[in-house]
Amino acid sequence: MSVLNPQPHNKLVKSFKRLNGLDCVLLTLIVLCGAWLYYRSSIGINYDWRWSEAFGLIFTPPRDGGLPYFFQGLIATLRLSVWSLFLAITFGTLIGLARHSTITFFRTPALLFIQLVRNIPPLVFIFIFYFFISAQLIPLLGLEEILINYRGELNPVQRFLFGPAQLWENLASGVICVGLLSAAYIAEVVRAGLESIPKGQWEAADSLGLSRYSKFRYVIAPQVLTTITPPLAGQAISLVKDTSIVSLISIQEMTFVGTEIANSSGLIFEVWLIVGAVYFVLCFALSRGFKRLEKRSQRHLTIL
Amino acid sequence: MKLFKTAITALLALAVSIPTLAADTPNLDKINERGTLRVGMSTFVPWAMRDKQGELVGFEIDVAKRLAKDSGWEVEFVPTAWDGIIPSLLSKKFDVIIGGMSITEARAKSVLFSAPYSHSGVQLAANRELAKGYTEISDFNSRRVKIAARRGAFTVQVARETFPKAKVLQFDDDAQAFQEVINGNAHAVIASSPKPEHESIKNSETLFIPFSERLSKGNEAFAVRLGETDKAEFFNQWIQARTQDGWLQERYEYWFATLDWQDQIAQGQ
Repeated sequence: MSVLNPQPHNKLVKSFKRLNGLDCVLLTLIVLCGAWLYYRSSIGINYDWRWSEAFGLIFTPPRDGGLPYFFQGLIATLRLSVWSLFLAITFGTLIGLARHSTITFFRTPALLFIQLVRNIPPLVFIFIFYFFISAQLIPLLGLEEILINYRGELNPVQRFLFGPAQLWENLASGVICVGLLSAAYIAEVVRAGLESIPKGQWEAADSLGLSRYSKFRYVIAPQVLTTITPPLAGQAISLVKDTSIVSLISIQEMTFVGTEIANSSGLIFEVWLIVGAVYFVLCFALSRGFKRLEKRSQRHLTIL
Repeated sequence: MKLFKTAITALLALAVSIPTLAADTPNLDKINERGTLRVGMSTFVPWAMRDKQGELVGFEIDVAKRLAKDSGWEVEFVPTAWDGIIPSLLSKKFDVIIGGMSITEARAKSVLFSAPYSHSGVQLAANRELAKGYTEISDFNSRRVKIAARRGAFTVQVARETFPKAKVLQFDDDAQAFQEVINGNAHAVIASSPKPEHESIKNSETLFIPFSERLSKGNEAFAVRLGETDKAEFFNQWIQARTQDGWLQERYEYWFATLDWQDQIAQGQ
């Protein structure tokens, strides 16, 4: 096992001090380029910026005093992301394990699923899945009554986790689409992680007479987790961004809400820039969170 | 023997006719049972749009609400991306499209249209600089001319038919199409009336309306799935009643001929 040096605390300070002449030239060029773009956009695009109205619109609460419509969309995006990530990680791990299995009966269907999903553009997959499969699948599983026609009272927990009942089917379709799409990629990450463990580790665990559970829990899993955390972080971030694709099948998340607001108000650029900024904040926060997780998962490699 | 045959035939005929008698309005019954009419629509000023508070307002919204009220149903709107509105109807995400959908032959192959409940037109707004002196339809029918329109909409079809030589640029929504012309990247934009008129008043320095006649007259109708004649029939009766008492015309005037509703939405388009 390799040993990592503890990270220096004043890394950031050092990197500023290390700015040399070339860096300064490059930074100046970037700033100039940005200024030029701003200048071009102010003369090239005949657009009347109305930022205060756009912000006013986004924060205007509905008549019943609830959450502003834009934030309902943001919450829907968060719900969609969390549930999709949960589905993708569960299903992806299972498929990844199946891919690594020695039993062909598990391996082949997993391979088929991965190849099918990875080699179809996400948009096409979502359209096919939504209009053909989910329309058949939901009535078949008997979920129609629960998802589409549920009109009973909601308890606060249900409302917090799943949102308003008339959007349940909508949310479920979105979660299944995004979750399955991402599961294929996560499966490959998990498989690669499993395969990166040297054979010696498996053999050593076996020769120590560890049970199947102990072998995975104490020998394999910690090493796999360390290896797959960075690619998994990338996948989670791309999942959050992918949730915007499902606006095309009318899942009422932030992009869809943004389209509606932009079209109704005519404040197209303002609304889209705000939507973009919110996605950036979401994904950036997520990547910082994963950075911490990555450090945590390397704890067993660090000598304190 | 003959008697037996007759008896059997009569019984069979009865057996065949009973289900059809019982299920005379199977699709309508489903809505009645649920008590909620699920309406598919897409944001499209001033047919349906979000007001400042994020609530749906517009001509379609008024129509759907009144239809539900008159029929004793609740109404539930299912906002849908325009590209997927017909597939969504077919995969039963909602009961009916009330979304300013013009009747076209191509669409009639996949959905069943009710009687038209509104008659809108398509108009063209042109850029003052690029289309200087263009007053005839033939002026725009040239390879050099670029015309913007909303993707998948009836307007694209009108643009292709009226100006076969011109290049049609397609956008996801009307706002982008108008912006393109205001920016001077396209000569003209085609959209459903009265949007071109409204826009050319708002941006009178850059936009003008070259023609006095509308390019095309459209007929908008409700759309249901093929074979759901009971529903279409029911809607037709309602449309007829509301056309006769002038309610539809009055609402249409309000949303299309006036701008009284502008302060409900953010400054309007």
